[in-house]
Amino acid sequence: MMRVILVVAFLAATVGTAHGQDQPVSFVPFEGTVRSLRGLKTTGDTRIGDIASILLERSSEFAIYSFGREVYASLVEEGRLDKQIGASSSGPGSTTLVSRGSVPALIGVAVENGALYQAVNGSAVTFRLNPAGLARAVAKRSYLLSAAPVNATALEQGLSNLAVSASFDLQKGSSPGTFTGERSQLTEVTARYHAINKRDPRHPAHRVAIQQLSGNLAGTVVVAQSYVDVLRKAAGYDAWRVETAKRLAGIDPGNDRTLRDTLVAIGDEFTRLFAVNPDLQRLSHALVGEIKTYRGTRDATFKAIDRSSVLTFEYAFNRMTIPEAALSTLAADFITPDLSTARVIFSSSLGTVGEATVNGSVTVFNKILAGMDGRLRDVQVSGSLEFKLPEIEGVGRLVLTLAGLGAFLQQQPFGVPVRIKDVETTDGTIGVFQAKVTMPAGASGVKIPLSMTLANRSEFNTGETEVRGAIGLSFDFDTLFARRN
Amino acid sequence: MRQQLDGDLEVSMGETVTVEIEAADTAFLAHTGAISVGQWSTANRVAPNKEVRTFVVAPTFSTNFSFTIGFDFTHGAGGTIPASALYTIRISGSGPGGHVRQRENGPTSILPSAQSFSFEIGQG
Repeated sequence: MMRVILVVAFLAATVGTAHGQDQPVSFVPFEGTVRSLRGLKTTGDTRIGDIASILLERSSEFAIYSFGREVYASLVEEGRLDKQIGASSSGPGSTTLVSRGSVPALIGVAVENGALYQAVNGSAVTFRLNPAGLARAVAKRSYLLSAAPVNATALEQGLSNLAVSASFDLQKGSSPGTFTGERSQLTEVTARYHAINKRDPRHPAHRVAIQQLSGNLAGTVVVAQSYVDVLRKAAGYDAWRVETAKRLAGIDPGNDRTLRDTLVAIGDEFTRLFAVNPDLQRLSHALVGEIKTYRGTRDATFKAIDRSSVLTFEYAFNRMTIPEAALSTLAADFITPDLSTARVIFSSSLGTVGEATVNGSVTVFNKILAGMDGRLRDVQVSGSLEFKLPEIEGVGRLVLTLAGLGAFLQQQPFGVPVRIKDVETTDGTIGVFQAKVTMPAGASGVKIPLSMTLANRSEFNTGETEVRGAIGLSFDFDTLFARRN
Repeated sequence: MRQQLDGDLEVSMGETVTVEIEAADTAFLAHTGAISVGQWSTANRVAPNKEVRTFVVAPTFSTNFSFTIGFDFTHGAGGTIPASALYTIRISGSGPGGHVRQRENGPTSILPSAQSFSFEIGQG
């Protein structure tokens, strides 16, 4: 157990250290300017003209910069929290009682320690990926080109709705407590398909709402245009653009720190020379106001889209774990049958409060052993209510999840009776309640789920009520790549 | 169309300028404003993710004029804005010079963003 905790701590520390030592240079609020500069392929006077043009094209970024860090920092937006990276509820070590419908666009990795209703202590590492996104990223040699194209074919669109995952139990294998990726550590493989997902604003159902939202950009556009109109009349502005363009043309746009420092110096100069103009100051205030006003409308539109329902089908292949203490009670040639689970996941919004999710699943044995009564192992029904808690500054929004699960074991959980701690396994009904708090670590993509689970019994322990705690760690690569773009 | 050293696009009287805005991996959430002293001739959404606009440089235009486009991005099914979300803006003219201005506008930390393009009527 200690080694497992060390692995989790090491991974957490690694993620933290990676952020601490290799802190990416922030180009806020000049990200658009940087992107345009880095997109230039011209040389000589043409390049100087292009850069001079970019300085005017992106004058709204200079307008925002002229406010100072406090104001523009308050305009920076963080991403949303709504993905399951960890194992499905049936995997050992999972901290998730109810499977959720959403998945990462590319790759997600989760490390979890604890157990749910199976009562087998496990530490699972789950890799969940979107094969279509990964294939595009590999083919185009860039994560940035991994998303489904707008004009995707039906096949491409279909594949984009598919996600697969593999979970590994760190307690198993040749080096218990260490992830080796060997077959003996593999505990679960899943394939998940979004049958209905209208939470993508590109869905045709939202076309009118998106068109109306485009119209709401008019206020921002009018003010940005007025800013340019006044700026162009400012004495010396055109000459400043050309001289500044020559200065920028002399530096390597690929050198983050030099580029950032140069842009900050240029921004300060712009503020001193031009942004002090009362008309431009008034328009800067108006621009920030328009951005905030637009965002209010946009957020309401996106919230309405987020309230759309999601229907997901999942197939899971599971390899069951028999506790070591029980192995001696079994025949030497006993082979635990593998399991196949078909699961339906339905998620729907609870308005502004959070989200409700319902799962239904049927699990069958992949092999019938002597003494078994057919293949059907269990039927499970579960539900969860997820509440977004108020935001904590510097941390993000905590999410509280209350979940319940009813498992109806049609026959012995391992197919045949197994003695664990002198108690024989049986069929029957299991009721589980879980409370979980998921803590984000700022905008790093790291999330830490902490859960407490109460059950009338476990699958493998029929004698007593179970109370268990679990802690996990997940890292969503989508957040990282979306942020660095 | 030609590019001047200060970055302005130099256009000729009677020249037709075409502005194409194409979205990738985002719903089309862009809005093009009016020309500062001038008028759009056409504006068409030729595809769900693409808009094409034109104007003809006329005596009613001021010597210097500009327009601004506002951009925002929508999140994908995964809940975040795809890293590959992008608007490509392409400005070309029918007159002499043959210069084409192409810019890419990706998601930034502060959205919506705005991009302005300025023109000057030349003697050619």
